Amino acid sequence: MDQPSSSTSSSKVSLQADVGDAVKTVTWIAAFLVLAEVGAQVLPYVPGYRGSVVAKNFEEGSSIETKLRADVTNPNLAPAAVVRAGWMGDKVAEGEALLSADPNARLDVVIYGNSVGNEVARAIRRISPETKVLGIAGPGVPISHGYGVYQIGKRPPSRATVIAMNEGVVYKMIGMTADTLQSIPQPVLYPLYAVEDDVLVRKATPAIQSFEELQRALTTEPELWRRHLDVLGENDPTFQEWLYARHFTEYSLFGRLARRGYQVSRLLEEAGKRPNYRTGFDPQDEASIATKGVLRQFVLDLRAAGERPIVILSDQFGARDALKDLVLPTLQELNVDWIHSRDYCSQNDRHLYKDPLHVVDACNDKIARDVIDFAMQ
Amino acid sequence: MLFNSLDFAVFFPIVYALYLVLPYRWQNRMLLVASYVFYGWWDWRFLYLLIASTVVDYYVGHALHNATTLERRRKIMTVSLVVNLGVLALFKYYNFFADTLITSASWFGLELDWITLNILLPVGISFYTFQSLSYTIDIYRKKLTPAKTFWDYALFVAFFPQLVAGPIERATNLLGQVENPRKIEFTQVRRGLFLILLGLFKKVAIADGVAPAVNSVFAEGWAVSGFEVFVGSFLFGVQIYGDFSGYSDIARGTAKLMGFNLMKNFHTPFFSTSPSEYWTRWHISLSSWVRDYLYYSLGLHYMRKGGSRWNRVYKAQLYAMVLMGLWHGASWTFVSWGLFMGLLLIGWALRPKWLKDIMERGPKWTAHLWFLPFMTYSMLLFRANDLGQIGRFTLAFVTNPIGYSGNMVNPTFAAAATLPVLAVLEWFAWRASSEKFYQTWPRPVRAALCAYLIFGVFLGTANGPAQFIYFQF
Repeated sequence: MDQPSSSTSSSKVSLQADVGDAVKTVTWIAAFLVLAEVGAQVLPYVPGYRGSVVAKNFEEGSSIETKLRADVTNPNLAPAAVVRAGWMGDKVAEGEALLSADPNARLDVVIYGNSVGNEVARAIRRISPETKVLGIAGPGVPISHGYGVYQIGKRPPSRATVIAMNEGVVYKMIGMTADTLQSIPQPVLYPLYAVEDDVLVRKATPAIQSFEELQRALTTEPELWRRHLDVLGENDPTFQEWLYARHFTEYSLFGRLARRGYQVSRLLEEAGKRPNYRTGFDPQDEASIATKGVLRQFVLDLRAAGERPIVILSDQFGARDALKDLVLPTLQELNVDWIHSRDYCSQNDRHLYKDPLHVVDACNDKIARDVIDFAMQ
Repeated sequence: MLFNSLDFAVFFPIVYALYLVLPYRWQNRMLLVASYVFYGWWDWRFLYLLIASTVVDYYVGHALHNATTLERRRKIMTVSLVVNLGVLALFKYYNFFADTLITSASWFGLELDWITLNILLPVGISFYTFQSLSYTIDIYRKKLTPAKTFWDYALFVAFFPQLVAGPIERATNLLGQVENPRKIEFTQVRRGLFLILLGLFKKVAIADGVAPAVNSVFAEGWAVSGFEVFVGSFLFGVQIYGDFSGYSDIARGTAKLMGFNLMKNFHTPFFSTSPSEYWTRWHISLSSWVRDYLYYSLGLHYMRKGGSRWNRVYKAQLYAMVLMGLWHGASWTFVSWGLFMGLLLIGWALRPKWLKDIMERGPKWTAHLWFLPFMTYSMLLFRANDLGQIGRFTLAFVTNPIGYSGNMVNPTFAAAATLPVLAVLEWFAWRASSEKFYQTWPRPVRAALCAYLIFGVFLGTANGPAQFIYFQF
């Protein structure tokens, strides 16, 4: 048998030393990562952690279910966002409560929409306390939510009914769970609509429609939660159960951070592949067709019920006229009144926006004034 | 294909596995195919340009080597210059010059009906064009012999780790490595992995993390104070450093895993004390290219014409810097950046003695503070959307220097949590005059650093993946 040369044996020794060295370093790195993981598991027990900026960053990648469970089991639930999430059932109940208090009640203004519509409702109360206004809204929802509530609910008749639309949520018309990355969880709570053979069709209705149902689903009635997930799975093309429902990947800090990174990429990809308010909406896109279809049917239904609709179109900061360009033919065809936020406050003036989505109170006041005038005509 | 993408995470292990099992000659062929796949991932149509530039310069190189008279060598060299700079001019600068001409003519009441084409900018065209040009110029200067085979030369031009955003390699460094079998050493692999991790950390946690703050300052429609412009411009310096040096680190690390050594592109530029020092620390592969192939040539040209020191040194410097600005993009903001940098170099060298004395009077560390505002202002020029914004922002330094509009958003949590660590690492590197400073640290400390870098990358993934800034150049 050949003897290995001295240079070969010395290189073998060197390689062994290198590998041994690398193993030691990797072990040390792994130990530090485990230490970080253990530290993260202890953090929730540290006073002041919950609600802190660190908690927001470390926990944001948790599933919607985990965040909802934390709220549902929170004894100080009252101020929690989940209670004010614009539950369809709760919104219907609000209208019914008004009717039961006074069967002949009549409202001046009803506003269907999202936070933008809610701000106009608040502005009406601010500048004209005598005006009777009911705001029906959910955070970040498209007009499917308002139409869904209108379809199932009873409320007093109104002099004017506002449909408040925002360009930033058009994509949610077909993907309710495209955005699962919320530090304040938003349960999905509005129907999905589509236009088939020129007819508006309700494709899906969420299995959970009120806060009480959510509490039951997450505590005593797991089959209701399962049904809720199944409805989403069958109808929402953006639904990914491992992001929405509880999943083992969220129990580790690095798992949550990776989930968060993935969700950011996914959201950007979803927003990028679909024509949006930056690029201008494609009228033939599924979400665009559904938006126009719901708007059209909503206006026709309101008129059939003897109400006077008015549409508010609102833009995000720096946006162009994408939403107006999309729905203008529908508005003109229906000959419905509409107002555009940019006519009140330029969407290019940063001082007129308190955040990228919402204009300042002074702008809302101007819009509110015109809505009141319309209602009182 | 982005280095920080899932595509690359799949692409590179496959390429690397093949690389490890193939013999040397096949390694090169496989790397060439992989490089073309990497490049074609953006837009395969632009592969033709890359291949055309490669073919032309390969044959030009051999023709230059075989040419016996200076006149013939000049003619052949002209072919390379015309082809490379012509392609660059068409794809990068045609619309800029056409638009400028139309606008200038309109000032004099002339209406030019010029055709402005909607030409896409091929990714990395400025990088590979300069790399290819350096090869023919070096042969023309008789500093280099041509590549032995076309395939080796093609790989030198297209080597994927540095193809689209540098470092701009010289044939004198990279071609020899392509033409000879590489030896993969353990220390090199270890260093390569560290560079990749550090590069990802700089890009994902820091560059993408400060981007929202920078974008909020430079967004149109905002009213921002001089203070906010200064902070925003400084943060843009941090952003572009994290982005570009991060890319260079990943490129160098990836190359090291395969046994290649690419040149260093950055070395603690924020610790510069003068503009000339800055250009030995920032985008070193470009600044040294401009120095060797442009500045020296211009200086020589003026010297032959019997020019004064002003012409030989300062005029050449000014032209070189303006052209360097234009290299970055077809825009007047880049021209003004180059002009500013050129004037700064000259002004710094010619500053009166009394000013020099004042600047050098304090403790040593104050020398950095003298240069910092100039560097920050250069970042403003580099990032500004147009000349109008440069004017408005410059005016803000005078009219509203210390106000706070509140319009500037904060860097992300990931950036805030990782930026101090990068600053400390940079300080160590600067003090040790070596980027391998950490190698002398005890193992647990090195391991803690690596663990923190991994944590930073995970934290930074929420910043949202953005395109590397230098891809546009």
